[in-house]
This record gives sequence, structure tokens and C-alpha cells, in this order.
Amino acid sequence: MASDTPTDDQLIAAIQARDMQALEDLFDRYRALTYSLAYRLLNDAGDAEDVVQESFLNVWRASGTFRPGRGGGRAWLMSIVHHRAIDKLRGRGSRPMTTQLDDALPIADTADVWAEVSQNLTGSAVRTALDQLPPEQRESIELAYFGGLTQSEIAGRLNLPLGTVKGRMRLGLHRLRSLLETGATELGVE
Amino acid sequence: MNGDEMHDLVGAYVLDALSPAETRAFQEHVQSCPECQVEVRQLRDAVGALPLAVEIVEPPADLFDRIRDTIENERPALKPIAGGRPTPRRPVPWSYLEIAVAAAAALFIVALGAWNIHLQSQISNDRAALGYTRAVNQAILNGGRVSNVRGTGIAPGATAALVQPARRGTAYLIVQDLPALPSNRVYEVWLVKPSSPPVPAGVFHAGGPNPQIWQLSKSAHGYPITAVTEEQGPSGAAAPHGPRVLAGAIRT
Repeated sequence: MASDTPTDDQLIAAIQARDMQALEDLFDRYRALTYSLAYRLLNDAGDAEDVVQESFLNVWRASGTFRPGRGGGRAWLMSIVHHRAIDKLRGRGSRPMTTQLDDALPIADTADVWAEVSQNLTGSAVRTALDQLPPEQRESIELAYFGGLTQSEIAGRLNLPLGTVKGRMRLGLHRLRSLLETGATELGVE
Repeated sequence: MNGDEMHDLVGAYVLDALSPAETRAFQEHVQSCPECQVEVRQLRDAVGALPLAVEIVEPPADLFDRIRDTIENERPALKPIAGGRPTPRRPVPWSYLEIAVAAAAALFIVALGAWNIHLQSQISNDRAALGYTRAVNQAILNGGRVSNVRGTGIAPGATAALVQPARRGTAYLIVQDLPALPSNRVYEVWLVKPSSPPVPAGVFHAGGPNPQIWQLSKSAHGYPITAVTEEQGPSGAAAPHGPRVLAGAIRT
């Protein structure tokens, strides 16, 4: 169905043109999600506010680094929030965004259904997919992503060989992607 | 670390779970490893879905105000308009009444919509200008006030409109047919209140027949008058010295 609501990509393009209203629209769209992710990682309201504020300032200043269609505006924005929250959690200064560096990689686009799947994902679908992962894979992923631990710290905390932790994270993410794609397909997203 | 060991880092890499040194090493490796490049992309997709799983917590209501304040305070000037800077010259006093009389004869631009279409065709190759055009259109659609600003003095044929968004935010000035300036001169925008010195709202260096949009450095809310003078470039002046080229009443 046609809609007058601008897409994330359109809002980010307008932000590149210094459109403050577009930044406010993007903020209104993701204010709760960005704050919730930062809060989940930091467990402190003031730190979470700082991270959201810094992230949207980053969007304003570095909107030119966004590549439309590469995971979408939401994934780009959330990666900024996560990255900044991790930096705050680990007590270190700002560093280059890995997603921005990845964007510079000479990768041919892999045509797949992910762009469509991503647009239709819900919190419930993601939680369901996480629940379907083997518990040890889910644990490693959550300790890394929501706990902000490095792979070495996870290995130490779980008393596991580092290679085991690496494998669990990698296999778990492949499995999660597959589950999300399957779930979306069952819901009619092709 | 050999290639296979590097490959094993891909999951930790996209989860931001590597040390800085490991991150740098992996990024060097991935530049020359097509397999890792594809896998980074695939796993990044899965990581991008993870934020959706969090329990939603509402942020404070004024959070965006803080973001906007930071942006506006860090930019003395918005592009393409540059901010004014104080100069040691003595300002020429302005008569509020003089400007108000000139502004009273102003006609509002009733065909702004059609003008905007013209604008878009003229500047369609300018991405930033298109952003401003969109912002102006959106401001008008959302109840923003459009005030006509007339050419005066050395620029009797110039036309302009000031658009003040109804919501918070800075104003826009659309100008057309201002005389071209030498490289060392600029146009400076002023916001004026009775019994107060004019407040600088940015400078620009452009003229000619094509319509141009400039975003002011301030909101025009609370100011009954706007004017534009020609001043010394590149930064303009703290108070108006040069000839006035545009003036008009601001609708409230």
C-alpha cells in the first residue's frame, strides 16, 4: 500500500541535506528502541540518555556514511547506539565504527530476501527466534551483545575454551538469521 | 593467527566482542577474504535484528530538545548560510518605524506553492537545496507562517519570503533577484524588535535570478521584522552598516 510516510532511507537522505525536521522524525520513530537498547546495556538512565544523544549527533554529523539498502536505516542507527554503549560500558573513548568500515569493503551485494525480512521483523519474532537457539549459543550471543563482554571475557566467565565461544557465537548467529528468515517466510514475507 | 583462525572471529566481530587489536587484525584480514566479507554481511543481518528483542523503556520527553540544542550551539552557521561575527565598526542606528513603514506595504506571496515547483526545477541538481525545499514545503504544510519580504534601496526588483515553521526550529529565507555581489561582500540577515538592536541571523553570498533558499541560524519567533543588508564578507557584521536590500514584516 502506498504511504506518504518517508522511509528511514529517505529521512537519512534528508538529514544529509541538513534537514533538522528529518532528524526529529527519525528520532521520534526510534526514540524508544534506541533508548531501550542503551538502557539494557548500561542499566543507567543517565548513561543511556547520553548514548542516545551522542548517537543522534553522530547521525547528524556522519549521515553521509550511510549506504541506502545495506541493512536499512534502522540497523545502521542501532549499530551506532550499540557501538557507543559498548564504548561507554568498557570505559573507552570513541573508536571507528565497524559497520562504517564494513561499508568500505569491496563486497558485491548478496541478493537475498533479508531486506524484506528485516522490514517486517517484530520484537516478538526476534525473541521467539532467540528462544529457539541452543541455550549455549544464545547465552554467548546475549553476553556479547547485551552484556557488552568480549569473547575472552565470555570464555573466562563460562570457563570455556576461547574457540568454543567463537564457534557458539558464529553458529548461533547463522542459526538466528535462518530462523528469522524462516519465520518471516511462514508469515508470508518472500 | 592463520586464515581459518581469523575466519572463526567473524561472529565475535559483528557482535562487537573483539578487543581493539583483534578488531584491527580481523579488518585487515577481511579486506582480502571474500568468504569473510560475505559472512560479515550475513551475520550483520542477524545482529541488526537483536535490538528488537529488548524490553521497551521510554526515554525522557525532552531528549530531542537536548540533541537539537547541541547541534544548534555547535554550528555558528548552517550551511549554506554562514554566521555573522562582531566587527569593531560603529553601527548605524536603525529606525524601527522606518522599516515597519516599508514592510507595511508588503504583499504576502500567495502563489508560494507554484513558486516552489519552479524552485525545485531550478535546483534539482543540488541535493542540499532540495533538502531545504523539502523542509520549507513541510514547514508550510504544517502551518508555518510565510511572510513577504520586499526589495528596497539598491535592490528594488528583489523578492523574498521568510518561512517560520509553526513548531520549533529555525526560519528559512527564500530570495530571488538580488544583485550579484563582489567576492568580499555578503548579504546579512537581521531579525528586529522595537527598541532593540537588530540581531544577526546569518550571512550568504549569492544573488541573481534563480530562487535560493537559506536556513537562518535562529528562529524568527518573537521578531516582528526581518531585513537583509549588504555587509563586509566573509563573516558579516555584528550590527548593520551597509545598505538595506530587503525588509518585511514577519507574520505572527
